[in-house]
Amino acid sequence: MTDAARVPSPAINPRPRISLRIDPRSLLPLAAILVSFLAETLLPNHEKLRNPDYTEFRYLLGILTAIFAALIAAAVWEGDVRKAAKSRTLFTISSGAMALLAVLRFGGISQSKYSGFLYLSAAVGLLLFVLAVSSLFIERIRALAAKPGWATISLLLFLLFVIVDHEAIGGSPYASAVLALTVVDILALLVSLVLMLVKSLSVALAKRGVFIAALILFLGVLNVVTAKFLLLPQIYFPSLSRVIHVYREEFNFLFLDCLLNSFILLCQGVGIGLVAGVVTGILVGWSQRWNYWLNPFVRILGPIPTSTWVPLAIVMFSRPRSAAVFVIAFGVWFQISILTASGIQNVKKSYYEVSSTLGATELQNLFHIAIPDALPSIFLGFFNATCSSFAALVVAEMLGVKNGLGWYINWQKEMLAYPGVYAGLVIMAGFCYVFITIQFKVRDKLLSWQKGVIKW
Amino acid sequence: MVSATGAIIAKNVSKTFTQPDGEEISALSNMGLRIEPGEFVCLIGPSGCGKSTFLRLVAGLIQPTSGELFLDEKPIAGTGADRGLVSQDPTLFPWLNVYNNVAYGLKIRKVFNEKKADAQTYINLVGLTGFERSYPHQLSGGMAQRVSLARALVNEPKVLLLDEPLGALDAFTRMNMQDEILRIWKERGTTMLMVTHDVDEAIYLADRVFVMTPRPAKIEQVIKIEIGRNPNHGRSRDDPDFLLMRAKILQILNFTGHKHALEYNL
Ligand SMILES: Nc1ncnc2c1ncn2[C@@H]1O[C@H](COP(=O)(O)OP(=O)(O)OP(=O)(O)O)[C@@H](O)[C@H]1O
Ligand SMILES: [Mg+2]
Repeated sequence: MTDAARVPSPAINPRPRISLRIDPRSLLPLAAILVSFLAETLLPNHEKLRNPDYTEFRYLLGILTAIFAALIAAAVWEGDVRKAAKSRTLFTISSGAMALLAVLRFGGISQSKYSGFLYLSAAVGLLLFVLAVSSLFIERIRALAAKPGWATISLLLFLLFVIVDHEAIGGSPYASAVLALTVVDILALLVSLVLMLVKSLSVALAKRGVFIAALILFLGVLNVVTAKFLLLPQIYFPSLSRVIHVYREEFNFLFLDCLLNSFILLCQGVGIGLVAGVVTGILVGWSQRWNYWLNPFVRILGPIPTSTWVPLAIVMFSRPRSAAVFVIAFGVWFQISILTASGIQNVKKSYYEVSSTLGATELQNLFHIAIPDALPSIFLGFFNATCSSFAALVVAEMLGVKNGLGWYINWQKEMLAYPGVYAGLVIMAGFCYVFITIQFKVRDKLLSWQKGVIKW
Repeated sequence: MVSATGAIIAKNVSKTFTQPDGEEISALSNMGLRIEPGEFVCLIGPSGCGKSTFLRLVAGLIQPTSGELFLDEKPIAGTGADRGLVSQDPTLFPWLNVYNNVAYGLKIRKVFNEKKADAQTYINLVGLTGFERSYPHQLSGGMAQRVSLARALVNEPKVLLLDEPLGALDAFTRMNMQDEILRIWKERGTTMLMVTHDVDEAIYLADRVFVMTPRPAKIEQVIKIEIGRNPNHGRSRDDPDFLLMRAKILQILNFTGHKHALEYNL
């Protein structure tokens, strides 16, 4: 510290500056919503002939209004909101709501089709509440309970519980209270998630405001084109309301059967392929002998397109489920093993030399030098593999599994039910996006020493 | 002060590299030397003559084409933590931060739990306190060089092979590091074999200076530096004997360099 740095800075002008605390660009989405809403309500609906009550687009606009109002408010009081998100009070309240719901519904859970999930989340919810309450009294776990993720987890748990159990809750005497709580919960969850992912909410809102407003306007225009003027063939380009209607009708089937099944299938396939690929890649890249025997197989079998395996997979596995997992795992295995092997073969020789002179054995060189240095390459392989595994997923779901998002989209297409196709596509897009984003977050954590190889 | 281990003996060591096109390069030919335990030796010689090659031979990273190398009477066959090498470029592990780079040897030898404090001690010693969490790409060349030095020191080897370890440092840091190296040497009795291009540095530090011929390298001359050291640091650089010694070494180097140039002019 030099003396100059210690000299107090000249007194700041004491007059408080009057400034708008929000960038006007952040308000653009709300304006776009308003325009779309006016178009929706003022123009006559020509689709009426077929389905008179489809006004779901208005609900969507309503939900968007609530979301943006919440985000804008959170941006204006960002400091306070951030503090609250980390506080144990929010954690206590959110886990309390979850615990209350769990207790209210506990007797009825066993009748639900998804009782396993419900029991689990009820138990976790109660545990979280115990943690939150005891942290108010026990000094030692206070710091633990002040982690920002806890409140988010209990909010998420509440939401999932309500979604899965919504039929039973809907018929119960406390339905409207739960509904109100759910709305608050969703908004709080949204804000806390956004705060976790974004450095400064007000900056992010201002930056993305124009884009989001354009997107909403696009939806508004789409609504006018399809529902109001019928400018596009109705069968293939249904109105937004009809697409959203699919979610209302088939929520549980779409999310709890199709999405969950796709997710589990993908996790199994990618998981098995990842482990097999990393092991093969390390063997091929590290050991001459394994390279001699394995490399030809990797090179010959690997590039065969996934769908080509389908006829063989059906014969090889008695259960269609296993065949589906195999088809996904295979493509993942190939891509990861190729990049793992090349990553390990490209490790600079001088790293091994330094490591050896510090006393490392061959095996230590593998685990402390080769694998860490090859990690960016392994992740690149993992990224490529995940992207192509989505394609493999659709193929795999046609293998008599008769379930999952890919299958649903195909099925709807064959029935000429295009609203279902679009509803499925949107979920698929969101699903792939989340899957890859999580993967990138993990990579950034593991490879913090390296400045991003691939940006997403 | 001087330990009884860490003697290096080279007997008729030759090293020939075969290039991809089949051409053979003789880097060392029939080199013989003996370095006493706890001695400080500087190797000095024209660029490309084979100094690094000799250090890599002692480290066990490469095997001689003919001849033998011994450490304390035992033939050198491969690398070992008893010989630390600080190579010409720092080669830090980019996926580890400064602290973990320095602690690498401790972890590899499974002594990290007992010697945890050492890692921090050596980071402080090379003047990088506060940079423990930085990654190699965030360091300057000189800082990286110092981390590499600390990484070798923390292992407390019997023999320390230093290949221009202070090459990338500014004059002031360089002088500080020279004194630190001397201090560690005195404290530990480590045998030091250091390559340098700086004649002053060699005279300041070494017990003996080995002047090498151009490739294929041999020892041209061994110069014993008999100027007394000051208690807390090396020799006074303005001592008349120091200046005399410098003139002498420069003359030898110039002479060999001259011969080298002549070969090509013919
Ligand atoms: N792996 C190798 N393959 C082929 N030739 C090599 C190899 N390593 C070194 N050489 C050759 O051996 C000779 C000696 O190299 P060395 O690195 O030992 O020189 P040096 O004395 O350390 O030079 P400098 O002072 O510039 O670092 C050089 O001519 C170099 O081309
Ligand atoms: Mg060299």
